[in-house]
Amino acid sequence: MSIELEHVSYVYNPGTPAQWQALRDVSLTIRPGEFVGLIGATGSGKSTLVQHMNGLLRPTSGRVRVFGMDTSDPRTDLTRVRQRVGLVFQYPEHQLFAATVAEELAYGPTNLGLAPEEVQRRVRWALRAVGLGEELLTRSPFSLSGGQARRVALAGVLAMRPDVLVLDEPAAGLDPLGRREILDLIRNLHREGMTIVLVSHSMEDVAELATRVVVLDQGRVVMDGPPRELFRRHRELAALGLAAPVAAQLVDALKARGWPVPGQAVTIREAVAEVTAALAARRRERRPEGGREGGRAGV
Amino acid sequence: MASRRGEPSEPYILVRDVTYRYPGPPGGEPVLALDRVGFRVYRGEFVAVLGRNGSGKSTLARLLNALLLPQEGEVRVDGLDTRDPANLWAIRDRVGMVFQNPDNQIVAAVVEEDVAFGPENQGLPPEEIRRRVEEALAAVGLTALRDRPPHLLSGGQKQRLAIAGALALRPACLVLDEPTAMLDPRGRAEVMATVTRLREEAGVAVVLITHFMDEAARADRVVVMDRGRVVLEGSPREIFAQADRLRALHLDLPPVVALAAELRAAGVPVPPGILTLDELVEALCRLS
Ligand SMILES: Nc1ncnc2c1ncn2[C@@H]1O[C@H](COP(=O)(O)OP(=O)(O)OP(=O)(O)O)[C@@H](O)[C@H]1O
Ligand SMILES: Nc1ncnc2c1ncn2[C@@H]1O[C@H](COP(=O)(O)OP(=O)(O)OP(=O)(O)O)[C@@H](O)[C@H]1O
Ligand SMILES: [Mg+2]
Ligand SMILES: [Mg+2]
Repeated sequence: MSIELEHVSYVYNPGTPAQWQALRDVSLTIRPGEFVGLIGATGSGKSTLVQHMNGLLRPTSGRVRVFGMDTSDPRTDLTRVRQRVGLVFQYPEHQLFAATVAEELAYGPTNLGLAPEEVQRRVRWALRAVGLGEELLTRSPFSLSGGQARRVALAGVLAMRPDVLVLDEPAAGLDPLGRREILDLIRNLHREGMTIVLVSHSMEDVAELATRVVVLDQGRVVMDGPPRELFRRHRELAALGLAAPVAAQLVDALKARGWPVPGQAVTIREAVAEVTAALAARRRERRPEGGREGGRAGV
Repeated sequence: MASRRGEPSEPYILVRDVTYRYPGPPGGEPVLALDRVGFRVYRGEFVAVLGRNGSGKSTLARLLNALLLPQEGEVRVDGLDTRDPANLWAIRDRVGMVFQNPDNQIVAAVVEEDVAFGPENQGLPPEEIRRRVEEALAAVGLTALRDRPPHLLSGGQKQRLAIAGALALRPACLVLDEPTAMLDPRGRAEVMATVTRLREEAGVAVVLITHFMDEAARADRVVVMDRGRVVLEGSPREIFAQADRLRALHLDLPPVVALAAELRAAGVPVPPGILTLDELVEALCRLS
């Protein structure tokens, strides 16, 4: 197992007036090769949860094991945990620290003990993978635009080539092309065998990519299953501050209007298939009555 | 905006031929962020600003309330020149700003004090401050968290707090730089409803910078930037009819418009110009 959380609870600032329980008895196993989408309303505990996955936070009670290493055990080398589980922060400015983009990207691979040429190779690969040009290498990460900073933060973690990549809202603030490129990149890394945990408020992205969706509500796991099953539960999702993807909303609305659609689509491609199949079925039904639809080519 | 043509009304904010460069890295070239930009906001108007990463949107936003000053050209707010230091506070009263990163604008130790900070600085009477804080917290759905320390809020909660802080100043124009980037679907819907309500009930003009095309679809006017210039401008229907042009600019269609386009590509004769899910459902139901 890659990451195992057993009965994990987490309390911020215990014993002070600012005490806050952010996770409640969370048990969750991330298996090698999975692509887990983690969704939930703002404040539901997603960022708190993923920071347990690389030992940045340690449970107040319960246990977290990363490739067998117990993150609460003082003998565990957390550097090794972080080499295997790369976490891309929700806010790039919480992650970026170096004087230049080049140093930022070289930091992780250098710490892995890689040879300088290999470090440079990884830096260039990661920069290209996130769609940035080499002219940014000399810039300070703090002088970048919002989307540029996010790409650098992602590239810094990619350059380490971790076994598990945990991404906290990696596409927030990216332009639509950048979002598509980053999601394609993540999809490819997953195909090459990387385990992915993706925190996202975009139901469309999660529906397109994840093989499993976990839903948090007030620090608890309240749903866990394949996207196709989960995104059909429109009402429950809305009650949790979430929504179904647009494709699912469309087939749901058509079904409510009496269309003969299964109403199971969660991606655009699936919704188009349901709609065209329903229109074709109607056409077959009508044809025996005599070709009333002569002029409606294409339907 | 076609419907305004011929109206005598002056733009509330006028950006004329503005160029802005940031200092480059040591020994390097300066970074040209805005290149002779023209931009207008009318009273009560909802303008969405789109553009790829690094195209100059946030820089433009910072020029609208005199956080940055034009190096060439001019910016006028309600007739006031932003380069005149005497106008600074009058401009900040008129144009409220919510930044891309809410961490940068949190000032107080408790949520409601943070919202009260602006009105207090304006020297308003205590009852008026209290009323505005109530209203602003309710408008963004943070009333229940009023006693929490802001730095302990989640990302999305912080973003709503920043909006409340700007609202409490009752600006004539609110500039929002990616205010929904970290919000859940309900939070995004709430912010968009807040924007609509502000405009309809209080006549507040809104400039919304966003990477969500569906949010731009609800604006009166869409402005698209690329490499420091304004390259497209029009109603959402005009803009989102240009799928290829948008893709070349690193943008896209709103999900519903993309869905309608995919249906059309599959041979379903969905009419052009659809922007919302309701419109798409109605159009499909008329087909059968
Ligand atoms: N340092 C902290 N101290 C105290 N409470 C905190 C702290 N960080 C987060 N919290 C609280 O813990 C809860 C969970 O926060 P978390 O950041 O994990 O949520 P999230 O699901 O990632 O939200 P978002 O979608 O807005 O990023 C929230 O109620 C938040 O206010
Ligand atoms: N403080 C700064 N110093 C140097 N260059 C800067 C600074 N701030 C922004 N820039 C550069 O100016 C250009 C415009 O940046 P700006 O932040 O306005 O873009 P943006 O359209 O808001 O992008 P995003 O969608 O990523 O937020 C970019 O090339 C950026 O790298
Ligand atoms: Mg979070
Ligand atoms: Mg920006």
